[in-house]
Amino acid sequence: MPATNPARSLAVLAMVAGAFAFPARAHAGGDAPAWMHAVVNAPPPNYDEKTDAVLLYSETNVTVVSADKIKTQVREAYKILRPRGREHGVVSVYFGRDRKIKTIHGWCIPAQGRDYEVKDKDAIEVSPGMEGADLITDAKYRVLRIPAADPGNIVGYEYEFEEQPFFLQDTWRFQETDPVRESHYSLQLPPGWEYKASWMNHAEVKPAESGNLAQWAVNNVPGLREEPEMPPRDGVAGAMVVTFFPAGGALNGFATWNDMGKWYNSLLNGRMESSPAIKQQVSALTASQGAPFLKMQALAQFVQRDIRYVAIELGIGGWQPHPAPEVFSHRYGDCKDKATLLRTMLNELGIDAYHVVIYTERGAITPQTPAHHGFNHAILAIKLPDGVNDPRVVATLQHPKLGRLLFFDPTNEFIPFGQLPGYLQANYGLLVTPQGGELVQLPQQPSIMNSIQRTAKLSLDPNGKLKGEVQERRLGERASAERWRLRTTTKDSDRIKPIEDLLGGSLASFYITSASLVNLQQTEQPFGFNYSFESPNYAKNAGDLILVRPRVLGQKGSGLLETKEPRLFPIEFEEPAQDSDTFEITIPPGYVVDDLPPPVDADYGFASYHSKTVVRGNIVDYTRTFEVKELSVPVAKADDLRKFYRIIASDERNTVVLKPAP
Amino acid sequence: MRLTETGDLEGKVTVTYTGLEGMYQRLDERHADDVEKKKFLEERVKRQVPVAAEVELVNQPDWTGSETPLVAEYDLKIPGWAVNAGRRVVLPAGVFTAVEKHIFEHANRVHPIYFKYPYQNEDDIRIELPAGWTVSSVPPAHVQDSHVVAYSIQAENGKDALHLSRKLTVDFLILEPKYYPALRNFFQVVRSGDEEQIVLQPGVASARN
Repeated sequence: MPATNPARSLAVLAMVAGAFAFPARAHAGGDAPAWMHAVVNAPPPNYDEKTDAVLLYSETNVTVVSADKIKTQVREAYKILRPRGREHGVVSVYFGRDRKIKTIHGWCIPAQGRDYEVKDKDAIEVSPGMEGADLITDAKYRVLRIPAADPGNIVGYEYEFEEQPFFLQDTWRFQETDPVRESHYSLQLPPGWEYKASWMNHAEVKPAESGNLAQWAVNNVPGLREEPEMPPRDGVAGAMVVTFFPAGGALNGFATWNDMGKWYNSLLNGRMESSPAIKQQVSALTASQGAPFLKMQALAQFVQRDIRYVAIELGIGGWQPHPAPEVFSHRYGDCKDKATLLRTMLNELGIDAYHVVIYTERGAITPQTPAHHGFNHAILAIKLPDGVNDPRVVATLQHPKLGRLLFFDPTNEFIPFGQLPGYLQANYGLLVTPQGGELVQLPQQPSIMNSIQRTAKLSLDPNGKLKGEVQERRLGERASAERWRLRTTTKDSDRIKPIEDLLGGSLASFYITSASLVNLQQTEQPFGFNYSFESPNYAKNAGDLILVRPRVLGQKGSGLLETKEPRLFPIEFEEPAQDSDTFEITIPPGYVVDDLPPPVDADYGFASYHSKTVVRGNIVDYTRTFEVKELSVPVAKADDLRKFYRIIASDERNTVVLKPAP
Repeated sequence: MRLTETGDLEGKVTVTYTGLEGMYQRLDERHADDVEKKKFLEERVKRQVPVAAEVELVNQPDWTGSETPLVAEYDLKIPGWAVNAGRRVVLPAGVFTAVEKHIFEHANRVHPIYFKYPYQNEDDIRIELPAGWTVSSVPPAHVQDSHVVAYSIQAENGKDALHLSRKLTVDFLILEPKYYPALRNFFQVVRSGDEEQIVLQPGVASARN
């Protein structure tokens, strides 16, 4: 599926960066329009010294001509405050088969001197790219660079486009990174039409209405500055979703999630008709499998691994999947294509499944979110046949009408069938059935299913060299991340790089003496690293003492919150996790333990950390567990999280003291 | 700098960037405003400390000069820099060492090793100890001179204060891959030297734990 708002997608960012390569051609005598000059001396919204620019004025005028024709005019003017604010001198407008740009102009009102103007003929057209994926789309961007977009100057632009909408809904996103002085939105409907406005992350504002014209305005909207690990922008930015209804009833307008589900379900019509080739493949994959779980697993793995991810999204293709036989014969497709093919193949076994559209960051959609196109991904909810009680089936939901559903993402190559990747856990998705749509929360898996379990048997010599063997078992995202990293490596020297990185993160010097991977391809099994290493000078001499850090490997501490800036947004963890380290260090002959670091027991509810160092004969045993229990830490607990990370960082550097045996 | 009884290291730091070190920073930030330049310098110091640190630039460096060094002054706090070892407290001999922590970790090298310019980093740090604390031991001085790269680190026990000095010199532009193992070994020695521990004995009243 396309990005929620194509005009603000990552693809645009990449493209806009390239747009600087073309020079802006300024036109003498092109005075900026009156609406821009009107805000030159307007008091700006509140901002601080780190603000790059302020949006002085924004105006979006939407005129619904008919169910298949909407005209939109946009005007915006920014005052650039800092060098990074220059990016507002580049305006990018999305267009495509169903959306035509009628006009585009840009102006600059410099602090001194005459205005500049750039027009449609100065713009260039670029195609979007999608980092890390193959994308073929008919969407393009018209990019206009406004000259002299420098601090102190005001840049503005105006464009109009006309579109044939796939659905009768618009979203006014009035809150952005920079503070907004005033933003206006107007909606002109044909006679007899009605609308429904819903607000996201902002108190409702009543419109001024006159006939079929409704006008909204917001003022002094604070900017949303990025913070690490914050919720997705759609989950925190103020916006208004407005849905239009033609006279005489609904037509592709989504007042409710149920309506949207019906619309999406209509796009699936005819897309899941099987073919002889699909039937044959299903038979071949499942004939030797006994239990229903194994049959489903075989089909899921086929779609995960044998259908390459390629997105061909032309027109409605951004929303509508290709027919399953096409996806099967081409052996490629995007997320909704993969979901459609797997659903079709499951149907061949008599197993029902349903599309679930979802956003790939938890928090963008919540039960409070009004129904709108806030999704960028598609997965499946598989109705489990009676009697499927395999313990590997974890990501399930007992639906009151549909029965037991298993959520599965066939686009993710490495997720074991029965489980969900972290970004989908506890996330809200739209379950699409022939009866309509329903917002459902996907299950959150136990933290132990996303885990690194590391055990090491090590020995220390009197010169401080540490050597020994380590075994790591990785589950869930901890396993998927390594498999993804290693998916294209073929040389052994490359395959040990993750181990080198791990050791390099904790050891000043090391040599790997042996290494192997466990279950690299067997995604249903835990992934593992087995390795041996030597670390010269690991332990440090201090007079006749030897200092040894018992936490040999792995880092759980984080400097995420080590900043003077007050935290504004909750801190989001991608998934629950539970890691453990067990290190057994045999101390050198002739030495005994003189001092041990204290145990650590930190439990803040959202996460916990426990470590302990004990002596057992000539062995120092260090054990620790780290668990993420809740997926979001509220701002009120940010200080607790900072303390939590400091406790961990301190424990990770604690030291055991050895002394000569008496 | 000053070590607190809770193990925090805090104080004033002056960093003097000379030659190309100063020039490239001036060049990189020539279009930035004061806010961005401040952040740039603060981030640079943060990246040199191996654990989370609070850094605040407190002077106004000369960004326009070309003949003079770029001098930046900071307030620096490293929470929990000194850590527990039962009755003792230990802290590493190197402070601004993070850049070298993850350099040349991999055993194999395909391409030559290229540095933008030869450089030398020199640290001179004085750390006052909490009242009543004593230095139990300092690590022996390390000197590693490998011709085109050189490193030394030393911790000295002065009266009521520690004196840490460290010098790292990289004096080449390009090295063939056949020299990579030797270079990797050198930086392992650097890391090992940076992690040498100074052992402190807290005063009786203030002993932690």
